[in-house]
Amino acid sequence: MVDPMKDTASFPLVLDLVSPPTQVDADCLFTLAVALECDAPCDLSSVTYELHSGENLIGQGVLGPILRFDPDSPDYDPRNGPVEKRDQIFLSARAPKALGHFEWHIVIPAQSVGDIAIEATQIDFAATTSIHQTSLAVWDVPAPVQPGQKMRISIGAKCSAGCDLGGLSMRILNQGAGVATGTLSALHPQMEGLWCGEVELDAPITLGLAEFDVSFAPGDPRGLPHSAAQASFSTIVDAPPDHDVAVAIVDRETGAPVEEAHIRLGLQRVSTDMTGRVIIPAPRGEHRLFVWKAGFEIPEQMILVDQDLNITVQAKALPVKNPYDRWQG
Amino acid sequence: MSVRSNGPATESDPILSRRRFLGAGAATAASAVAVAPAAAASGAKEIVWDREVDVIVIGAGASGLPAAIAARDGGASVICVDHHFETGGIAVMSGGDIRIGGGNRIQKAAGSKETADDIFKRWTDPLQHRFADADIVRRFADENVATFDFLEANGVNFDRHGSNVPRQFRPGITSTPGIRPNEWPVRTDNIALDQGRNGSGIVRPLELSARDKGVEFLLSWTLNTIHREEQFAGRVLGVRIEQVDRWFQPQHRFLNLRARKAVILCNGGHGANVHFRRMFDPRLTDEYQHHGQATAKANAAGEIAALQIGAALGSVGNETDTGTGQAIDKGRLAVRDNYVRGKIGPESSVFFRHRALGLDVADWQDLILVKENGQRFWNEIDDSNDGYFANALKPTGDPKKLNGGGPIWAIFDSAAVEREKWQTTYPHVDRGGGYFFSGATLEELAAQLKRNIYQWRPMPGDALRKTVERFNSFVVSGKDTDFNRPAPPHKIEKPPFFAAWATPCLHDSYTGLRTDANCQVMDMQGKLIPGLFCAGESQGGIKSHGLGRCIVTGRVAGMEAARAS
Repeated sequence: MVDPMKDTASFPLVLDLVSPPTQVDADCLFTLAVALECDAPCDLSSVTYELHSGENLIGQGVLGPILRFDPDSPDYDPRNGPVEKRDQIFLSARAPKALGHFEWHIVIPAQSVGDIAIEATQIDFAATTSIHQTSLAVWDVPAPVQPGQKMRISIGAKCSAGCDLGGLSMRILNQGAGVATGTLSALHPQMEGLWCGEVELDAPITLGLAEFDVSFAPGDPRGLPHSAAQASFSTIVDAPPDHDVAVAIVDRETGAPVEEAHIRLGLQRVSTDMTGRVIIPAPRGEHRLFVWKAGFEIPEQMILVDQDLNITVQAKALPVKNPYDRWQG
Repeated sequence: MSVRSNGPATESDPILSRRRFLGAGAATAASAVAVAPAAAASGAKEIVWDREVDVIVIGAGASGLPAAIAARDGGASVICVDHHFETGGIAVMSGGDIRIGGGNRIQKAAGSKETADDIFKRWTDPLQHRFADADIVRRFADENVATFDFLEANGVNFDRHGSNVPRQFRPGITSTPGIRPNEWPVRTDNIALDQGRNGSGIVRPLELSARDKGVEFLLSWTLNTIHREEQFAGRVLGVRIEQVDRWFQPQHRFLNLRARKAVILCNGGHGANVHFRRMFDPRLTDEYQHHGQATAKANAAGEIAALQIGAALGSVGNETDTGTGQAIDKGRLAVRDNYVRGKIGPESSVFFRHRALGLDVADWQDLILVKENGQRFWNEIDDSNDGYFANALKPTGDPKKLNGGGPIWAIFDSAAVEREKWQTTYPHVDRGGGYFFSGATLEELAAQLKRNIYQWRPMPGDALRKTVERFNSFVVSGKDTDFNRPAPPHKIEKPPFFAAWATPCLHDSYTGLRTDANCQVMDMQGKLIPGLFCAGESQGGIKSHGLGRCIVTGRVAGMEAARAS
């Protein structure tokens, strides 16, 4: 339309939120997708916007690049649900620090872009702020271990909002009793936001499966409440080895070595090398020898370990599966 | 100019290149047809016909191409319509197993004594094929040899077959053989670009032959309505078709095509139509994808349109055979349509719909499979398909979803990625579409799965973590007390963690429209519908996997349609 007072074209702008979040981490940056509908024959990417909380102005900026509907883009796939065909912008905003419900008004004030007048408009956004969630990972847990052996494991923790968890500690418990404490000392080199550390602890002295709990209570780093997290891991305590068992896996038909076959002798887990061989330290006694290699059939057997042993295991190569066999019916 | 309406259109486009290779016969069909506004379909007298030919074939795949050629050979003018911007249907990415025997040239050369009677016995076996329509099987058996000759006469080349004679061809053994043609030599035409997609060696020569003989193709058009004199009476007059875009989305542009003799439905069955397939198996809810859906969608368009004018379904009992036909093995990971064979890469013309190559599993010991609730349900290294599907399709306890088992995710860690030598980047996995995720912790991983449209409720992070911790304890102790997986060797512990789509996809349609032995469609009273034929996976009658059923019945339908008055 044309504003008769100013003799310039004036265009209404309609805003709509696209899949807005209902819950965001407190005091954390998040993104709002806003659909724009406007017939103005100009680029709206320089239009200014404001964020209001009640009567208070809490932020402002310019819209930035406008994402246009593009059926040729790699992200376009109508099979994954309704496709947003309107122009969109993405506003980055920091959620309130206080926990609970909040309401904002996203305001585009009346303004001009060249000779084009854009009419004022606004849309409301409401969500809830929540405490940051933390979660754990535990890896490099040795198994089996010997009674009382020093074990070194890796621990990691991550905050859902990517907070700095450096210097925080977590407890390792066995049967409810604390057995070690670990400190998060560095970011994982390949994973964003995963704080890591190493923990040394003593293996139990009782033979058998040993289960541990990890407890992480970060409290309020940066003055923001974080959820506690927990995880478990297990190892198994075995008697010290008495003998070496040398195992060679060969193809029954060709005699060729079978490399990277997974062997379990008693509680030990190892893999064969390029020559199809591996040496396994084992305690005295009768142990199950189980060998796994995809594409081979290898029966398990019981091995009496009362001296150093050399064992050759014949692996039967299974015929390559004919994918059409299943269609014979 | 290309006949394709909505496909990619760059100079380097393999489709365009192939059209040039095929020559001028490909160039005129679309321009010859004026696009008209939607015509009223309520009565035959009101229809404005945009084109008129003797025979209209719906579908340009394994049954549609033989039907079109056979009708043309019978003297009919033919238009062949397909909703994809290419011909070939799903057959182009098939392994090319053609189950036609009965004493064909290759069999005879190999010393086989097989006859048409052996074929008939095979596909009416009272144990495995008790729901077969014996009238249709008899005609199928009797046409086997002639159809083999028809394929060779239309350019399908079996020259290299001799180096790969399957065991069925050994002298003295009579059974239904699977024979395969040479793979089509122009690699970029083959959609699935891994070797061994010999189905291309059938449909590409047949397309070429059809064009040479004057069959017109309308691509990127889908069947909307079958016109009949009256809804449940009279002869079939033609079809209303609707243009679709390259995502098969309707474009609200219609054509009315008049068929002086017949309409032949060869649209490839119903496997990708959730509501249609659930008439036979309510468990097959929308999370189960259909093999080849990125290439051509088995959308039941023909069956639905035919049912609307009074057609009946036939041999529906065949459809209950989950083990050998409907569902496929555990499949490839991290790609929506995860059929284990037929790898579609970026150089393929349909990659934009397929989106990823997927990850092949060398050793299922490298992962666990969990359902949408984060819990295991199966011994992952067990390959018994029937048991796997029965458990995969079992609901997970959500009272809001009592049918279907929901998405299945392969869960593994970075150590497994190293062992399997997987690449977790484009174009190997479909991250953007929501079929592959990674996370620093298991809780973070679980939280991301909500981006997949079929993960209808969040996977509880603590449930996934407890599942993995329990599995890791089995690795340590050497005994999987939940599913008896023998001595699992690898823990899942080293971040990052990964979740890859592993939901089984579906394959064959074993039921469809009821026809007589001539492939003419019957109505609910058992009367033939004049001018309506059906072949391939849209036809009920034979429970047979592979292309043989489609090619033979397609040719029969084409011959009979050309004879229709």
